[in-house]
Amino acid sequence: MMNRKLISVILSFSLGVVISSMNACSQFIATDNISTGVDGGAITNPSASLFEKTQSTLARDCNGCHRAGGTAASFEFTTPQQFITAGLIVPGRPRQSKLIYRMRNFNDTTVTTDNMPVGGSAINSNDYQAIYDWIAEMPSDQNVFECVNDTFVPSQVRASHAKRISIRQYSNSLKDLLSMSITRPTVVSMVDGALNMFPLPSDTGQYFRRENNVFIGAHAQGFFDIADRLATTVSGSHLNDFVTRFIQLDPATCTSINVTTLSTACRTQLVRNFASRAFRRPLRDQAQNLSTTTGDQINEVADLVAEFNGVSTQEGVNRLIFRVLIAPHFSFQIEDQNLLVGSNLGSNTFAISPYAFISRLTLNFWNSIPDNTLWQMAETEDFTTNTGFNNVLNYVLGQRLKMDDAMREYYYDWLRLERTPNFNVSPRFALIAPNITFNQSLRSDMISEVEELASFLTTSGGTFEDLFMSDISVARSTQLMRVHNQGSAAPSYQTMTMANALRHPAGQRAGILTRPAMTISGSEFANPILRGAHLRKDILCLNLGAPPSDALDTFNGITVPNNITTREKVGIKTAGASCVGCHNLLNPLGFAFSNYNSLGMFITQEPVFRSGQDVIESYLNVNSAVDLSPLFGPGSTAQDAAGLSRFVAQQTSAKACFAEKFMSFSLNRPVDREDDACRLNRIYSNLNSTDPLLDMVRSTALDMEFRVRKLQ
Amino acid sequence: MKKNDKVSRRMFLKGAGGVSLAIPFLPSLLPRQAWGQALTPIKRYFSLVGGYDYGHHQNWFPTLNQLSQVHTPSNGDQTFRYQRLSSFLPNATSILSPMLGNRLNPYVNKMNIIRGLNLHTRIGHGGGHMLGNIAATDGHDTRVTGLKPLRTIDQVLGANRNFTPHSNDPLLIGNSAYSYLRSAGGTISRASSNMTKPNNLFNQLFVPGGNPIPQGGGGGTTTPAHPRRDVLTRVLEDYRKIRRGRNISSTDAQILDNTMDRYSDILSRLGETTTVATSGCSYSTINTAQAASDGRNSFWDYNPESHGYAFDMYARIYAAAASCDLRRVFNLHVNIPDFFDRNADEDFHQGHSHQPWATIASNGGRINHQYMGQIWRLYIDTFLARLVSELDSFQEAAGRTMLDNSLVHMTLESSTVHSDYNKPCLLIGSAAGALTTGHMIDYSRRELGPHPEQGDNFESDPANPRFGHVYYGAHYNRSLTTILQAMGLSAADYEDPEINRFFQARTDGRIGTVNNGIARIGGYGHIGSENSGVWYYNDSQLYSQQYSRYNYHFYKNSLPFPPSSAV
Repeated sequence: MMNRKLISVILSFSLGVVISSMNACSQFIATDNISTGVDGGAITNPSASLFEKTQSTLARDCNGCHRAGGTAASFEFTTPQQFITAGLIVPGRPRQSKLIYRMRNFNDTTVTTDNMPVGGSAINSNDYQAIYDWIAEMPSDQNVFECVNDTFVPSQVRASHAKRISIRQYSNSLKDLLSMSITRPTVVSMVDGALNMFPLPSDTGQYFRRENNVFIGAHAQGFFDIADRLATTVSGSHLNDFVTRFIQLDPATCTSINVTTLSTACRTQLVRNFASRAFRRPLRDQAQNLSTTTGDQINEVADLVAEFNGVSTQEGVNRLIFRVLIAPHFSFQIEDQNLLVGSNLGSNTFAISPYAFISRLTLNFWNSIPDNTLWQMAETEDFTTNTGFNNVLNYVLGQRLKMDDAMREYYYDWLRLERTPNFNVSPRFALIAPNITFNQSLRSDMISEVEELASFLTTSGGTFEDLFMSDISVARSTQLMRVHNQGSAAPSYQTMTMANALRHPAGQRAGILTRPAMTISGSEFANPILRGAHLRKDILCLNLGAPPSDALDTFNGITVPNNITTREKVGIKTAGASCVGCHNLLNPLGFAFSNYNSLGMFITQEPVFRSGQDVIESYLNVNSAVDLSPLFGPGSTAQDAAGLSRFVAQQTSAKACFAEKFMSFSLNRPVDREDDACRLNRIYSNLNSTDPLLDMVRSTALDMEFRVRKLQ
Repeated sequence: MKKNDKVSRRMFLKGAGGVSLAIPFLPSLLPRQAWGQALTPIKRYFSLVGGYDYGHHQNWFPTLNQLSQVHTPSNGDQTFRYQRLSSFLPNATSILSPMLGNRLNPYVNKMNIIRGLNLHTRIGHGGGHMLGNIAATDGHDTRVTGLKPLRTIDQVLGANRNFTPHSNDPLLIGNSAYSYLRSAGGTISRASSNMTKPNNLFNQLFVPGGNPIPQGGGGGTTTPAHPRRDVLTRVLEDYRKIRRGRNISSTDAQILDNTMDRYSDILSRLGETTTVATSGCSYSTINTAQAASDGRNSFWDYNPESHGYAFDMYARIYAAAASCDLRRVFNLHVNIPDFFDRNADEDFHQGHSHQPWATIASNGGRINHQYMGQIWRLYIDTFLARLVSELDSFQEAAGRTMLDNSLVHMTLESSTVHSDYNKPCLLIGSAAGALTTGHMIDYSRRELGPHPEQGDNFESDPANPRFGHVYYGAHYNRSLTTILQAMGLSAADYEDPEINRFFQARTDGRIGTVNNGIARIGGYGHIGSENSGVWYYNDSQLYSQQYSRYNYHFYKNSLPFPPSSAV
């Protein structure tokens, strides 16, 4: 098992400056090349020492034979490249490196089975680990996740289980379902009203909220109450629309609709069309001759039509809606019965039906039910061919507006936007930004801005690099526009394109990292440490050590002049011997954002407040130039946040981190870096400056696991 | 649990496929004796008796360790240990044991779990010894053949007019009958079991001959159910059908079970359509059409889910019938149905019960003895816990509930495989204060060392430690005597002077060493074989050694229980 120490950093606020002191952080750097990222070696700058240690180990334990004039090929190399050239190591891939597998006898048919050193004692584990880490931390952009065998193996497919749909999916599904018969604004108002009146427990997955699969009494009560309310409202106020429009989706033998005295044929079509859309599959009826394990016949059509027996159409519709909205196949994703098609692929793994596939697609990427077009495609497309399969997939991914909700959810969770600070408003806010009202509404706008930008870029042809470099503005609210000092509102999301999108002034905003939600501190003081920690931990997926327990006291105990920049203050306060080791790896990431004040506004100067008073005494030029050498290698520098963002977008660790997170999100399960290495590589390969992010999304749906179900 | 008060005493019954029954408890229904229950509370006996075994001792008992408290009866009866059951429940979700689960947790202070009860002869398979007729064996072990057949205690109670006024007692539902009755001519025969569907049972009890009880009632009021009740009932049936689907994994099933539980909780709060008659019991209209359409001829033939569902209903019906004093002796006898068989090569008996340590591949990788425990958990969760809950919701006189005035008794054919040692005995209720409650009681005599037959070493391996934890203890039949006496019966009601003569006044052999001077054994049932005396004389024989360990002077007595001051 790989070492995966994810240490959370404790951030504390004091005098407007956040401190984060990391004690001996190198001890927390994981040995796993993915969890540290291939940049990990550069960040801690351990590669030089690891290389030296490797050389030392080889000299002691190997060079007896592996030396010039020895009995085996010489290892007396002085540079890493010599090892690469000699085919002894594959950068970033220790398990594929001969130097490693010869010492641990990993499978390799080209070599003898003897472990090295032959005839000597095995290399001790610490030395072995140092060599392993040295190789692991070398940059590599190929086979990042060490895919060994990229073939579909049914036995390795994970069993999937019934899952309660997320609250977000539930809400969207209700709206999309009822909108098939009633105008959307009416439905949205109706559904949102019911959800407000009968709040459901929030989904709280470990990382992604939608991972939450629990079903507690509050869910049952909420679903019951919401179904009760919607059924009553629809049948009471929208009876004609509901009945006629659902029947008209496919009238079949219902040739004349008389709502008051609905014929059996019309009742049947109403039931079929409504419930099948809700269940995301055709209803089961007598013709299918299905039965349970106990022999009970399954005839959903008859069961639901029976709700009309002996009662008025209004009451029948009321009962029908209620029953469908709390039915298992509406509120749960259950792939059972005739949803499985095809023969057993092995290990009890079956191809899923077209309906199950479109259900997976839309629940995952639309957070909702399939629309009528998809419904038709499920009936007509041949999913066994790549053409048919891709037609469906292209349609789903091509619906930008439908994709938006799921993508927003992903970016909210990935970027940990729930941690966006609330505004702790002080009189100094008015001095910094006199025309802006800092409140919850603005905070929500800021969060939505990041969600929307990322979602737009993902669904509109943007690349992974665009996420970090785009200057597109999506600010529309007056307050947020003021934060951006923006004169006009961005086009509506519905009409916005890459071509007509509003752009921020050159050099001011570059991608998601520079948006207010990612830079605000909540107070009048910017917080470089928090910015750096967020970037390092959540975007680069690099570990952080916990600060020592006395970090805050140490930080507060250091007196700094008032008339220096925040960057300079933080630099002084974290320069102590117990702090600097880790803060050297953290502070530059935050300092690069010095052009954004604590309220997310672009600045070139920051105010100096008179001590103890709400008065701006002077302004100081900010400096966002940073030396990134300790993080990204010798000679790495960035003049500002844009420069840093570009570095980030190119980092293996950032792309690997993103790949893992998106795969976990799309499959609703944790990712295993070894078992899922091949599919992670496919996602990773789309994260660059040229491939649309949509291809990355597509790669997750093209994966075989997405198209089969393994029964437990 | 909130107790029903006098105004709203009501027993709810839920049936399959929309059957919904509600039975308010009305004092006027009860015979006059019951009206005066403060003086003479009505006692009722409920048995849950099962064939097969509980798999492993640890499935059943809350602990296999020595209990904390010691009590030595003043009459010279054996010293025993006990401990509060609540001490085994560190938090609200703790389980008493894998079989007993946690649904009985609210009632632990009204329960006793008894350990150290042994039969004193090996019988192999038996169909009557659980309630007292050791002679009812299939001849698997000849040591008990030829003994005089006896009525089982449920029949003793049912035939006693001081105990029950109902000539049709006891009631017996089950796919097997572990009950033996005595004809007027003295012939002992096996009672007929009845596997009727719950709604039919309801009709038998509450609508005899098509005439709802109470006869002659008129007028009344109707309380409508919540308008969503019927639809929600059908939704639950939708869930059940999916649960029984062909492509449902075990995890799917757990998820659906949990969901159904949550919706069932809501359903239980929606109320029933209830017609309250002016006198006697009342109940809601049964949706017979829905009940008939569920496609099942018998709940006993289907899967565990529908099986358990039916047992929940049986429990509700039993409690309702008790509240209306339609019966006072209720049995539910279960021989594990074949649909639990997961061994493709053997029947359940050979494939599961007899292979306690085997892992059956098609059984989800479970070890058989654990599987046995899981099966019984179903009956405890669905029937026993529901029954106890319902009984405890009826407040009777003197601050006692119907549960307090009753005894709910659970036992099984064997403990492990064929073993008759550590036989299970769960008693819930105090029989109107006749028994102290709230304890695990252990009659094991650890000071004598492990019992030589360590829980039926099925594989003929006396050193096999896997079933250990068996010691000399008390005779199992004393638990039956305890029940009879707690129910108010006297020795004359159940003793048979024709049996156990072999053990009286003996001075020879090992048995004589300990039991010299017993002029009358008394008590209920056979101590053991009387036709194979060699088993009790020959020092090399296990049973001879065994009989030397027991003092039969107290065989006729109730088991000693913890004192009322016990903590």
